Formats: sequence, C-alpha cells, structure tokens
Amino acid sequence: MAERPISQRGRKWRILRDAVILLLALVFLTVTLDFPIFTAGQALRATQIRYYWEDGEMVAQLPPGNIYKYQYLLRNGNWYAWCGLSREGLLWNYGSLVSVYRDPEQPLTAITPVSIQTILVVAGDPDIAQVEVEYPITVSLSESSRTCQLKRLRQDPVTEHCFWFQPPEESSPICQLEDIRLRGYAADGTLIYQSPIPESWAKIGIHVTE
Amino acid sequence: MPSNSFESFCGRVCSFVRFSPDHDAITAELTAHLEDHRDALLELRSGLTQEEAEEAAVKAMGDPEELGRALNESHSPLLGWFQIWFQAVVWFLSAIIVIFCLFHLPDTLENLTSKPDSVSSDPALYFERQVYPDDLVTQYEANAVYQDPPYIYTIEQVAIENYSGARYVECILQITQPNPWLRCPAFGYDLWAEDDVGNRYPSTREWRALDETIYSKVKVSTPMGDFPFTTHYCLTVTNVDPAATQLTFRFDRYGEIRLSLTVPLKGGQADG
Repeated sequence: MAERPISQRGRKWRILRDAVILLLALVFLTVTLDFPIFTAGQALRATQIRYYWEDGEMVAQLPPGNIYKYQYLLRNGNWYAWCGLSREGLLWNYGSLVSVYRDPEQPLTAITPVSIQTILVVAGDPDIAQVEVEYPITVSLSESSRTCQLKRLRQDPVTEHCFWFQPPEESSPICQLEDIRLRGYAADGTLIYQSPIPESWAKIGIHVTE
Repeated sequence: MPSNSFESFCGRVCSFVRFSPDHDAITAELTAHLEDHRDALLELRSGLTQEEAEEAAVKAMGDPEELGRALNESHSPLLGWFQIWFQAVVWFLSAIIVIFCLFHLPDTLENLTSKPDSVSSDPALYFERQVYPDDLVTQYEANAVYQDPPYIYTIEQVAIENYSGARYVECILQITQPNPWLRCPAFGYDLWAEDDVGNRYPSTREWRALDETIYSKVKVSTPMGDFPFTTHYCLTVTNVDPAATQLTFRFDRYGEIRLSLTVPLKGGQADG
C-alpha cells in the first residue's frame, strides 16, 4: 500500500505529540535528578521561601564572591538579608540566606554571611554615611608563633543603611564576628561611632591604645 | 510498476513541490490514482491500448504545474523540515533520558517513597536506635500538627529522656511540602520553646548570645534525609522543667508566628 503524504495538519499533530514526549522525558529526568534548580530566579525564590523571606524585596545585587557567585541584598521592613546562590554546571544549588535586624538603637550591627569571608553591616544611625571594619589577619605563621596585624576596609553604602565588605582573599579576616571592630562616619568624615576594642585581639598579640 | 508516462507526470508535479522528503509519498499517491484511472478506462473501453489508457489518465489529472503548485502550498518545507528534525531530536533525547532514568530507577523510587534511614518507616524506631534504654523515661505519640503553606509540620513521636537527673525532650518533626524545590525549610537556628509553667527555652541563636552557662535550649538537628516532599528534623530541648506538662515550639523570628506546635509531656512530676 502506498504511503500517503503527510498533511499540514498531520505534521502539526506529530509536532504536538513529540512535544508531549519531550515534556514527559524532561519530567522523568527532573525526578531522576532529584528536582534540580534550573534558573537563578528559581533558586532565589526557593531560598526566600525556605528561609521565610517571601516578602523580602531585592534591593541590590552584590559583587560575586568566592563561594557564592550570585549575591543579593534583600529587605523586608527593617530586616535586611544577604542571599547567596551558587551554580553547579548548568544547574543551581540551594541558596543561603542570613538576616539581620536594623535596630535604630544600635548605631551599627554586623553579620558575616559566608563564614568569615564577607561582612554585612547595617547602620541604625541614619547619619552614618561610611562604615569601616577593622579585623586581624595572619601575616606569618610558624609552629610556635603566629603574627597578626590589623586590616581596615572602608565603604560607602551599597543601598540605604547597608554596607557590604568582601575582603580580598589574601587579607580575609581570621576571626569571628566578635573580633571585628566597626566604625561609622558622617558624610563629612567625622567619626560618629566606634565599637569597643574586641577582647580577643589581646589574645593574638594585638594591643591597641586609644 | 509505474509506466514512463506516469513517472514523467509525477516527476513534473514534484518539481514544483519544494519539500523533497514528501516527493516519494506524492509520487506513490499520484501513481496509485493514475493506475486506478487507467484500469477503469481499460475496463470501460475495451478498444483502448495500455498506452492510450495511460495517456488519457495523465490527461485527466490536468496540468502538472498547476497540480504541483497546489501541492507545494500544502507541503510547507518550513513546517515539514521542522517536524522531521524536531522528531529526530526529541526521539534521540528521549531515548537517552529513558535509558538514564531506567538506570537510576531504584534510587529514584527510594527517593520518592522512603523516609530517612535514621527515622525508618516508623519514627518511634528512631528513639529505640538512638537512645540508651536506661535513659529513656517514656516514648509516645503526639500528633501535633501546624499548617503554614506550603509547609505542614507534624510531631508524631516524643521521647522523654533522663540524663543525670536532667529531663530532655526529643521530638521527630516531619515537614511535608508539595513543592520539592522547597524542601528543608531553615528555621532551626531560631526555634524556641516554652512550657506551661512559664519557662522559656531559647533558640540556638538566642542561647549563643546568652551566658553559655545556661543549659536549657532548643536544638534542631540537620535534616535527617533530603527527600523531595518530606523533611525530618530531630528537635531536642534540654533541661526541661520536671513540673511542665506541655511544651510549645515556636518560630517567629520576623514577628509573625510561622510555626507553633504543642506537645504533651509525660513522665514528669505530674505523672508521679
């Protein structure tokens, strides 16, 4: 029996059939790959919901970091959050989110979202126009001793009341959040606030007199 | 076998049809028509020769150019090539995906249906495995449920333990969500608890900010398994007041209560 030529309608039906086959195959692949995340937007949205930050709005995109290539600053009222996303090939990993409350009673509040690699500071004092962080770094290390020195970084806000520090890799802080000293400056450069000298500095041989 | 005049007619028709993959099918269909027509003519007019009948059949089909242009309209090369390549790509990809999926089928089925090994099919078994029998005071079902879409939080089992005179409460918290991309909600650092006699058990975040000599706190384990629709956590509250008869877990870091689960406490002073 002779094969009949396929009509236009027949071809459209075949395209539709193949599209359904493709869709089903992709569904099976998605399930087999344990529901990977396909886009940065999907990763960001999922991270916000998982961290109960559905109502947060993105206020700034931060420069890429060593671990998280996509970093965002979110805001929900007086709450601020850092959100970091990382890729794995074509797909995206689940993101991380660390939040901080902007307390008007506290001139400066800091968090270190990615362990000690980055520092987010929010200013409760609206007059603070620049923030400086001071932290110890190791300059030499031997079996018997460690020599540290202080490093300073000063920044303008990335968005209202928010200051973002990403120390260069060679000068990443060796300390915890409690070991970082914060200073807030007015627009004319006047020092408005500085946090107390961290007690831990003395333990690593750093003595500061004021 | 098609005659030369049929082949020649079909060839002329097809020369006006740009979508070449359909030429064979068009030729076959036209030839079948021509042959039917020829056979009918030979039956009706006994005086006709084979060649005359074929010639008449070809003539009856009309102008080959006109027919070819009409067929060209209904055989769009764009749609035709797209359909052919789309089918080839889809079938090739689908075959690879099916092989890949079949290869991972056991793991996939387990992922979709299983609970974490440490919880097994029955959360009660978790305590039997993890807790020393001498330390376990009592273990019972709680069935406390709280819904905050997309999550449904359920505490099914509670274990009361006694470590050196201190009362510990352990609960298996199951969280279900219809969206597999929202697994493992992150509240653990900020989950706190209060009992019915006025004690507050701080979250891990609060506890770290407090004097570390305070031994009461709520600790949430890392997810006990990473499954698409269900996440399990183990909640531990240390140094729970022996007089307490119920304990309420809460998560309200951003003001609004997003999780609130109350479980009864047994094996305390009230139970003798």
